[in-house]
Amino acid sequence: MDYRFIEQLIERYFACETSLQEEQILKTFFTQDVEQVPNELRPYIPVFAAMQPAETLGDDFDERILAQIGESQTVKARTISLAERFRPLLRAAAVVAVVLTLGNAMNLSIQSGQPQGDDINYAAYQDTFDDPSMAYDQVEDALQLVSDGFAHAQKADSIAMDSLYSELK
Amino acid sequence: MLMALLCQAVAFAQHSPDFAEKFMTLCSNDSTVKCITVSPKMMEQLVRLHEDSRSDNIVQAIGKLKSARIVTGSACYYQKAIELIARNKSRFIAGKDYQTEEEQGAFFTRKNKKGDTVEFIMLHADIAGNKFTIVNLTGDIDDEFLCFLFNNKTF
Amino acid sequence: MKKIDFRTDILPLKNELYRLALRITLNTAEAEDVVQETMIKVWNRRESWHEIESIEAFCLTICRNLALDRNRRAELNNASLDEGYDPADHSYSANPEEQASQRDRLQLVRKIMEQLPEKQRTCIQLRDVEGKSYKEIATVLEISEQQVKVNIFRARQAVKQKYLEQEQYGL
Repeated sequence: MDYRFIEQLIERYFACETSLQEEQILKTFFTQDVEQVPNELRPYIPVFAAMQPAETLGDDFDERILAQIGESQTVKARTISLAERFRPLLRAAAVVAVVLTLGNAMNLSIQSGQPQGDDINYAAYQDTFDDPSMAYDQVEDALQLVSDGFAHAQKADSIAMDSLYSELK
Repeated sequence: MLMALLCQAVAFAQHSPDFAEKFMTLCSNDSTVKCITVSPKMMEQLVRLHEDSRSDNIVQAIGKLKSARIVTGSACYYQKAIELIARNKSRFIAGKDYQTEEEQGAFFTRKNKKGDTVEFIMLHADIAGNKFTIVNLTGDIDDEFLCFLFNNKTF
Repeated sequence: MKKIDFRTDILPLKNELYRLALRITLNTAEAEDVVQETMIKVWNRRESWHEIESIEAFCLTICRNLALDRNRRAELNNASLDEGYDPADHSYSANPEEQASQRDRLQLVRKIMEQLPEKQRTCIQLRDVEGKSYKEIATVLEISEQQVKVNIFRARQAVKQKYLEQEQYGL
């Protein structure tokens, strides 16, 4: 596998040229299983591991604050689950880069102008619908299916991470 | 002279079909498999239709698409689609796949010669409902596009 | 504009604020107190919440200032994190020896960060850990975006030189 992309990102990271998305990609890459990280890149693991949001306050903190400001104690603020606490806070593009392939992360520059389709013969495309609103509904449903699919794939990924964590405990 | 021109025309017509087309060709004798096509011309109209909801993730995502094809059939076709992808291993890059009790899904992408991702494929099987779907998109399949879809999840 | 609710908009910021306070005070008890103080202070200003552009930046600013006050008062500048503090281990390695050495290395990186000047520490915390934009960080620290970038650059270079170069020479 070609790690030149990651190496380039690392160089840019230290030159302070990376975007948040790119930094998230580095974090995601270096917090996967150690065996997945090639030897020559392993020294960087602690650097990016140090960036995980690790420390948290307990639920009792919420109760104390709410009591102090005179609010009801039974309703609590959203608490951070174990999965969220020990997983990096994944931003969309980085998650998706992992869900699809790391190779997709090559597309970091947002392509401007006309959408591409390269060598596909669009002239041969025959629309199923004449009514744009019908076509829209179909496309919307399809994109929804994809969105939910991403979420499922990410969930599956995080469950794997969680079980790995509980094995280590 | 005519022959030379015809040959040239054929040479220039060396377009590659999208995945949906390949799959439909495979299932050409099967009337239970259906394909919905949204051409680039129609896609442009979809964006204009919802200009007021520009902040919507779906509308933003559509703005980056050139075409969409949605294939449906019964759940057993999922495997057939997977096999077709496997036969075109060098063309499609595999992403993660997932499986729950009720459904199965897999993602694939294709890059052009410049290295940009121009085609996106999702294979989906609804096991309980015995439904199979291919979502085949072409266009600017970059991080921004994926972001829009990722931010759009309903759960 | 959406009405801000303490329980759903402000209280969930507690962990982010805690980590920032911890990075500045280097003491878990102090950090927790700072967060508590921050929340109360923010609550007391609820009449003007609707005027605030970013409630998160507002909370982070107050938190940082309170933490700095604590430091000045208690002279904790040269202290190390208290003994009871055990940074979470993220080296997902099956091998216990590998895990231990990864933990040591992680400790080393954290030590280097602790020794950075506060501005650099805060900038890198907000950027690398909390994922804030340069603009947001600039708002919290009340400095320019360029200055944020400079601070982050210096912080990352410090880690690179002090840790990675040691790694390479097998120290």
